[in-house]
Amino acid sequence: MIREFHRPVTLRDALELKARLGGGARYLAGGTELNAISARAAEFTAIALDGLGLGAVAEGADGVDGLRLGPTLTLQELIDAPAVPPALREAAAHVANRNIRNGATLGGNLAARRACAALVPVLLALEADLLLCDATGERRLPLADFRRERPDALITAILLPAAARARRVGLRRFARTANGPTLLSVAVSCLGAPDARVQSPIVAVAGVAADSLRLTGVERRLQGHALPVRAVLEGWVREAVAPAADPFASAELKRHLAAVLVADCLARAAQRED
Amino acid sequence: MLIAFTLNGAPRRISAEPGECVLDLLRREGITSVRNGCDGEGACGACAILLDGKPVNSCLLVAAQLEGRTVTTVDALARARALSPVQSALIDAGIVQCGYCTPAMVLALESLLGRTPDPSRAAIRDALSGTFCRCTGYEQVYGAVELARRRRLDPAAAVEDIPEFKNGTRVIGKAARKVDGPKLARGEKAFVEDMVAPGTCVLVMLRSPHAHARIARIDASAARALPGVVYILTHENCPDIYYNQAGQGFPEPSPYDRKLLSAKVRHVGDRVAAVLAESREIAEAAIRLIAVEYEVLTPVLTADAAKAPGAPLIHNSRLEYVVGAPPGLAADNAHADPRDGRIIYQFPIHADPRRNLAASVSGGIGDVERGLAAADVVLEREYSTSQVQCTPVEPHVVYTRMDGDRLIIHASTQVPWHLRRIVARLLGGVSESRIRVIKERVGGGFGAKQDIVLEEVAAYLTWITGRPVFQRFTREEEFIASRTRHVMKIRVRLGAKRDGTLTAVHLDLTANTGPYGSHCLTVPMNACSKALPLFLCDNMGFRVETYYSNIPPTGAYQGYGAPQGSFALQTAVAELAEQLGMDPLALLEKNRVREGAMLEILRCLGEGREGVAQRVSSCGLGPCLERGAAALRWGVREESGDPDVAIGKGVAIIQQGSGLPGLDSANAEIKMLGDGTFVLLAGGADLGTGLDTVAAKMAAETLCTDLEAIAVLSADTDVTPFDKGAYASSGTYFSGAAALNAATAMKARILAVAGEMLGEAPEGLALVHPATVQGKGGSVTYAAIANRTQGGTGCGQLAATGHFTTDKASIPYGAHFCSVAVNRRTGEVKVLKYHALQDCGTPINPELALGQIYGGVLKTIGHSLYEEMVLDGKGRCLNPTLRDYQVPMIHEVPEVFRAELVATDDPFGPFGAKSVSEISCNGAAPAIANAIHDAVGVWLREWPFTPERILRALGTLA
Ligand SMILES: Cc1cc2nc3c(=O)[nH]c(=O)nc-3n(C[C@H](O)[C@H](O)[C@H](O)COP(=O)(O)OP(=O)(O)OC[C@H]3O[C@@H](n4cnc5c(N)ncnc54)[C@H](O)[C@@H]3O)c2cc1C
Ligand code: FES
Ligand code: FES
Repeated sequence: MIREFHRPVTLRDALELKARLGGGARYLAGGTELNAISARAAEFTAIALDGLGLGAVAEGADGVDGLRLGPTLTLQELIDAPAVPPALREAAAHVANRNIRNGATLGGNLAARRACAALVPVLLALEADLLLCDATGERRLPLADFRRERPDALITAILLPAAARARRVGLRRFARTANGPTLLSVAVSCLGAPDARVQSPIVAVAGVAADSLRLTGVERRLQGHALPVRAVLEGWVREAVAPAADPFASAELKRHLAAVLVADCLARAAQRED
Repeated sequence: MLIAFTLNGAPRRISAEPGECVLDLLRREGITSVRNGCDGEGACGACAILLDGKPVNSCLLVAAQLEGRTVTTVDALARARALSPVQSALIDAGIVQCGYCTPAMVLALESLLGRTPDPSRAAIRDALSGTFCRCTGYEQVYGAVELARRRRLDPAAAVEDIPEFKNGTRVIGKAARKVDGPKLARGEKAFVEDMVAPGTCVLVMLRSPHAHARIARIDASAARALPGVVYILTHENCPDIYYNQAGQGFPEPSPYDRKLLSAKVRHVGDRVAAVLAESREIAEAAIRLIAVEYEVLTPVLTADAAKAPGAPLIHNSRLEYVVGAPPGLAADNAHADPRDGRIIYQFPIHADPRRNLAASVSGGIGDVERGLAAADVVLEREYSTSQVQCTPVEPHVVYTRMDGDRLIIHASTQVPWHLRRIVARLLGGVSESRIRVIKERVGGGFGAKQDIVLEEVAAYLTWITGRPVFQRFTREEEFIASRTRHVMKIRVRLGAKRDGTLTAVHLDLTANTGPYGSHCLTVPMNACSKALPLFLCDNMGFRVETYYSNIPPTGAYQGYGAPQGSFALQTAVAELAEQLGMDPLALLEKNRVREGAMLEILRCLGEGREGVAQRVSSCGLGPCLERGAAALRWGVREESGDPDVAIGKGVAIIQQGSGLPGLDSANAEIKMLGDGTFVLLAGGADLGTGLDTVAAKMAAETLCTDLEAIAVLSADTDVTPFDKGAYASSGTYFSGAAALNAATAMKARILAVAGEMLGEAPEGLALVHPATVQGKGGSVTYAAIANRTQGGTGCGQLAATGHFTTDKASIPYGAHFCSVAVNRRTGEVKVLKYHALQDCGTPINPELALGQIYGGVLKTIGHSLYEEMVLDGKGRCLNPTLRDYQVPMIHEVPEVFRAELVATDDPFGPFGAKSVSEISCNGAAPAIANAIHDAVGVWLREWPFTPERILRALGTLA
């Protein structure tokens, strides 16, 4: 339950508030996570982000060579922005519920740290970095490190390096229903010409392990080789993941699906030209 | 803080806590069109608003976020009561059923048409992707959007593509605006929660965390001392009166095996204490102050565990029989545990609580064993079904208050009269004249609201405290403390000759009723009585055993056991076809029921009493099968273009009943008003199905007047005459016929008066549209008749009553066809095409009948593929939310989804009508199982057919 509410209009005010209130304050973006019933028991002071003007899509801005995405862009705004890479728009559409997409933000999706957050695998596959701010200043952090470190800082931008835009990406969300919980979410990307040797692959799988979503062992085996036959790649993925069973899906199912979906995503990535 | 924003075009400054949920804020500001279907999970979209023009869920916003923003709700659309093109189109296309989700749909589509004037199917799907509608199956929304698009250009654009039935009628069998449609589309006050007066107390239930336990000690003294607590009811101060919550005709075939609160809790979520307080916050605080010590008992979670020797007993109670006590009862009662209380049976249902048996029955015709011996092929298979919940978007809700010395119950119920009877009993035998039940609009019932799961406590507390009481279930309570489908295991034995002729059919059914015996005999029996008579076979039998356990309560759910029975028998017949090397469709065709057939098996399938054999009065199965096969291109193999994905096709034939002949009764009354129009007082409870419209049409057609000339008031125990309630597919057939009979009686009265006025014999007169009596020498209008009869020298206002009972069973039939795509590697199943062809006699409201079919099918695609309540080893439901439980929404609608009405003219139903809704639930599971087999060669014998089960059946997972 929100006890107090602030809507700062400068970044400095927002950061100062946060520094002053510490763990008792939370940044509030769309609120689709923070205001939901599951979060209402907690008491906190909200620092709303919608007055900060952090909702832009900028190409080559601020000396960044790629794309700079504002954290308060809603998922729907991402989908509607032609400059946003198709794979990221596709991943945003994996949140099937339009009412949610109209509220939920990019920054909130990354910061909420859901096991299967829709945008995390794809942004890993696009080598996204985050710009983070707190009272001590600004720093740039790869998304993977952000997931590991879990800093209590404000995400002020999501940066996609220009090189990432050359990546070909294959994505897959696995769930029983469009609006149901995501069981697995997979993104695979690589460089190089379609159907040539796999260059700089990134394999990200959410839903099989808590924090580190990259299957770096699989990536190493793929690097510089021709696309392996499906069964071989599936075998590598099976070895690389150690999912836990839950009441809705066995570990065996998750392991199997991770393997199958990675293979499918790589095949899609290898063929994709966009 | 003060929050300034624009609400429906007007600037507002509202004082609110910054963290107040916007849904609550809007409702307290009188905007009742925003509704709550998921307690702020964000999953249902019933609370949707347009925020700066975009649909968002108001439950996910806090008040402070509104500062400077623009909020729009449907209330902004009503200009001088006119409907917007979207609102009128939704009604006219038949997509407004209960209407609880309608304001949200309207906003989503207004926003869509605002950004895309001519939206694609995909865009419409996306626009409604966040709106959970449990009633309609969504399909008709595509037509509605097209109609809205046209009406935005031409307000007079007419609805197209709705089929018409029955020659020579004006309104019967023709599309017409649902009588409650405009009110619902405008989001006006209509539901129980909209009626609650300020100052009403809130009732919250303390529920058991244990599936099976005795309450060793309960101390509510600290809670009672809390200021604002009005009353706390526990097993210690609750009346010693037994009852059953099933809203069935009296005497019920369900055991009276519970009190309002008991010293023993029998499921997680069972009642421990009812707390009445001035506010929800106080009630919740009081609950935290109640100290309870439980003596935890071993939970029993399956029927197999319940029947195992030495299993813990759920009701080791003292047994009493109103009639038919079995011999040896006294000796049996010597084994009872006094702490378990009593069970009262109105008559024997062959229960044996000493081994957890809640009810049992067996029977048959011919000789099954001989039939099996004579068979060339014998097949024996077992099928099981999981626990699924009705999930009406409006959960259970009640508002009770005193009016002088009378108790008024505003209810969202299917059974106003049973509710009144049960409450009267629980008040210690208060006379029914002291109680009034007003059924408000019901935001989805689906069977769950056939049972009295909260009204009795609220009513009791109002009665003893004099205070108005409001209670509304949370979504979690809806799962764990309302009603679900009985979990069943069904062993099917079939015998057939080489040519496919069935020689024997036997169903051996074990059902799990959970903690109490609501519908414990009749739901499992219905699994047999709606499955077996689809086949003509001389040797048929069934055995039903229902066990108590500690799972969340089960009971009625649309289809009432038939979906489970149909899944088992229809799938088994398809498996038999495989064994015989026959096309499953050919095997169905060979053995299916036909018009004129005598259904002897029904003799042994009465509801707790002797049944009656019935002759099939009308049967459209032939054309249903023929047209469905053509539509789906039966027998033609289709390729997906993806080597991993196989496409298969499946079919199932289905039936239901049309009410309970010999048991049910319905009544209606009609009065002529001063200008010759009418008010129809109909007992039947409209749950959004369109029953009020059926009743109005019966009267308008019979009385040759316009539909608008009939005002319908329904299901109010003070105002309207008795009706059995909305269950057993009885609405159109019984309640509709009662309205027809009332109108026919009114017609006779009109003719008599007109005869006097015209000086002609009534027999020579005819009613002609509009509202006129035509004689040979002249005519007289109803207005003139009203003037004459209601004047100082008249005979008095014309009024007439109609009553309906029958011993005839008119059976609706249907055939469901589907094609599915199965991904062999992931186990995913996608329903590509679904054709539901149904014979409901004459469809009285064609567009609403279609909506019933679409809705029933999508719900049951749900339990076939996605939905299931998952319990842990302690009986706790692990997924009591709409998202985790996985309700199907618009994205799960098949790519091609067609409901088709195959009309027959039933000789007994009103204007030839039979029932339509429940039957729609019976085809999906077997048709999909059959199609999965056709695609990938494996049989799924347990629903839901999840990827995990498919991969196991395929051998991909060990
Ligand atoms: C019905 C429903 C369905 C959903 N489906 C999906 C789904 O399919 N996939 C999925 O991934 N998610 C889903 N979500 C979850 C959620 O809505 C999203 O993750 C969303 O993107 C969160 O964004 P928000 O702006 O609403 O976050 P908020 O609720 O405002 O915040 C969420 C968290 O992020 C923090 N935060 C927000 N912005 C920043 C920032 N810029 N810097 C630092 N911290 C920040 C907040 O402090 C908070 O801890 C669903 C939610 C609902 C209610
Ligand atoms: S109540 Fe808001 S989405 Fe369900
Ligand atoms: S009409 Fe949509 S929930 Fe009832």
